[in-house]
Amino acid sequence: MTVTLRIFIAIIDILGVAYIFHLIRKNRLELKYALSWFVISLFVLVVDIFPVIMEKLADILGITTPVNMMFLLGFLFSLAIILVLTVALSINAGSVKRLNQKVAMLDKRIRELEEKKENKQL
Amino acid sequence: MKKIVIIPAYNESASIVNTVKDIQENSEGFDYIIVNDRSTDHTLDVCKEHHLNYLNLPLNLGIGGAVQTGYWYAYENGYDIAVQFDGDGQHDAKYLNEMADYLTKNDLDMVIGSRFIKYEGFQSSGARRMGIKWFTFLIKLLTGKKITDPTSGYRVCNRKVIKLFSDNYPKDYPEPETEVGLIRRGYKIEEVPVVMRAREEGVSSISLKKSVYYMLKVTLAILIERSRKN
Repeated sequence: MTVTLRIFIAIIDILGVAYIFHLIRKNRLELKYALSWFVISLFVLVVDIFPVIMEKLADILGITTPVNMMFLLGFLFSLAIILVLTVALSINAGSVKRLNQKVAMLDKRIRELEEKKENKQL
Repeated sequence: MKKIVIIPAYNESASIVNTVKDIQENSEGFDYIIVNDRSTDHTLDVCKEHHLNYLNLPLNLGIGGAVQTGYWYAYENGYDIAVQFDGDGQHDAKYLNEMADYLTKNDLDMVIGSRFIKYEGFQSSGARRMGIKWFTFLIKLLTGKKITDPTSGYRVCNRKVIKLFSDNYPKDYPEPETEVGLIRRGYKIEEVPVVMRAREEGVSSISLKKSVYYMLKVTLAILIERSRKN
């Protein structure tokens, strides 16, 4: 990897971390979900500073250019994060469904109580 | 013994009143609850106007979520028997007592109204019957139990199953999957012959376009359900 590429990756990485940090401070991102992003950013930074890690890994797997090794890992990490998000989404959908059903039942209960009250007043 | 009919309704304004009338005239001892799944037509207005007994979902949940609301309501209100009954006029209320009696007399957990025991009345289209046959085959293969009409939405169940369904019910096309779930738990299911009508109004929840998704989803759901531990 050229020095220019390494500097470029480092800048993107640091900007990304800064933005994630900003999102957490503004309460727009849960720290729980952000942790995996921080881990990845840290990993990328370490590999960027010590490219020998990538070179060794690429060599073991028979990948000729170390940067392709980085792309592969980045892709796998992204997939992992998407899967975690899908799980989170499923849990969320279940909660929304449950709330929705409860609201329908409470709505009915309120109607019944109001009717009772009206009948008493008459 | 408290009995309730659960009527999921999505855009059934044209037939919902007749459905309720059918239940009140042709069955005995059944309460009913309509679950309006955020219809985009006047289903809610019709319910209000005719003072029907209804639950109104603020968001559209799909058939599974709507029916589950009914089971939850049935559980919380102490019902012993619940029947799922389509709001589109397909189901005939004259079987309600027969099915409920069959359930209690034989100490069963669920009774399914099947079109394919006596082969009378509306038999569904050829392609759909093929799909149903496939599910019958698959369930027989995986559980050893023959269910001739696993997609029938006309089902009576006892309080044990009401509790189970109010806790856990699939989002869409729930019937075959939940039946495998019951068999897996050792619950007793039997079928009785019923005659179904072609739907009065509204559109079937399974359009031709969705049928591939339907077959795949339900097949996979059955396989996964079978693999779950007790």
